[in-house]
Amino acid sequence: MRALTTTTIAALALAGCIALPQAANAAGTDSTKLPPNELVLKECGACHIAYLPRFLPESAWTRLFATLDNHYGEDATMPADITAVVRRFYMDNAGGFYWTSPSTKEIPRITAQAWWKRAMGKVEITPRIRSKANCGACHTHAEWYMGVR
Amino acid sequence: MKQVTFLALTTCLMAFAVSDLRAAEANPARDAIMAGLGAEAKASDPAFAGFSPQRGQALYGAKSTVGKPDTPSCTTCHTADPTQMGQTRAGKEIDAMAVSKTPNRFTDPEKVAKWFGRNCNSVLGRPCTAAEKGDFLTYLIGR
Ligand code: HEC
Ligand code: HEC
Ligand code: HEC
Repeated sequence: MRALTTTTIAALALAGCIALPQAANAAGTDSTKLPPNELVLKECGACHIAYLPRFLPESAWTRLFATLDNHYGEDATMPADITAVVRRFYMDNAGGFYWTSPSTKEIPRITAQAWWKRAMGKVEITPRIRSKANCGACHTHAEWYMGVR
Repeated sequence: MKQVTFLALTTCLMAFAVSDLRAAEANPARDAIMAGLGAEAKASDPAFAGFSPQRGQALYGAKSTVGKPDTPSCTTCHTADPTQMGQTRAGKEIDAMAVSKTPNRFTDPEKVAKWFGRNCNSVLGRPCTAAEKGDFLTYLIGR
């Protein structure tokens, strides 16, 4: 019995060293198999925190998703099957926050909303925080409401 | 009995240490990505004679005026020194690009393709060629 246990442990330990590095080396994950909220965290959370859908209304998300190729000065395009799932998540969970449509072709910003300016207009954006859009620097749990973290 | 377990664990740790040291050179997924780029580069230019870390370094540091104005260079976000952490324009930290610092870099073909697509377009205003991608990765695998 003792011998068996030891052998088992040894075998497991060895299996561990073979299996673990391979798992770490595993090639591409198929993103579309992720649940929508995790896909959103991965895709929209790569350059900034994944902003909560309820911070902008549907009309704003519609415009944002139509202009991902020039997203606030960057190319944020993703494969069409992924865009479809992510877009759906934002549309389905969109907020009713008051939003005035800018007259220009600008993409809407959460940080340009009246409620945002009222609550945070005076917060200091240090060089390390860099941008008003870096919500996570001050709200450390900002992505929790996505139901993952 | 205890000795056997100890031996197994030591072997395991040693195996990890070795695989860690070799991480920069050998990774099947990364090798496959490089092989794919090599084949593509050869197909588009029969005179292609292999990737160059020097050309990769030049691309990494180059300033472009034809892409999007907010992103003139790869160094805008990845910083001039690839062994340092970078930062996006929205303030989010980016792990170092050098494989010696971030061992799982360039091991997911989907991820590599997606970011070359975005970033070459943002910075250079056009897609990168297979040769440019291979040069860029060769430079960072060696850093
Ligand atoms: C390639 C990088 C990148 C990706 C991917 C990306 N964004 Fe952005 N996003 C940016 C940048 C850069 C800004 C502007 C940040 C700033 O002004 O500081 C921005 C700003 C925003 C803003 C406005 C923030 C504000 O100022 O109120 C929203 C909303 C937004 N992104 C939503 C999204 C959504 C939704 C996704 C996923 C579909 C996404 N982003 C994916 C780079 C990206
Ligand atoms: C530089 C720090 C900082 C940044 C960046 C920041 N906030 Fe805030 N935020 C604050 C402070 C301070 C308050 C007010 C105190 C509090 O309620 O915690 C606040 C309050 C809020 C509130 C409550 C508002 C209300 O009316 O009660 C929300 C919602 C919010 N922030 C969302 C965001 C979002 C979304 C972003 C990014 C687009 C962001 N914050 C970026 C510091 C920041
Ligand atoms: C606007 C900011 C920005 C610029 C400019 C930029 N990148 Fe990136 N890059 C990112 C972000 C964000 C990621 C994803 C986060 C990560 O991989 O840690 C990334 C990831 C990558 C990846 C994938 C890394 C991996 O592990 O698979 C490659 C390849 C890449 N960038 C190449 C380039 C090249 C080439 C340039 C210049 C032509 C460039 N980038 C310029 C922000 C940028």
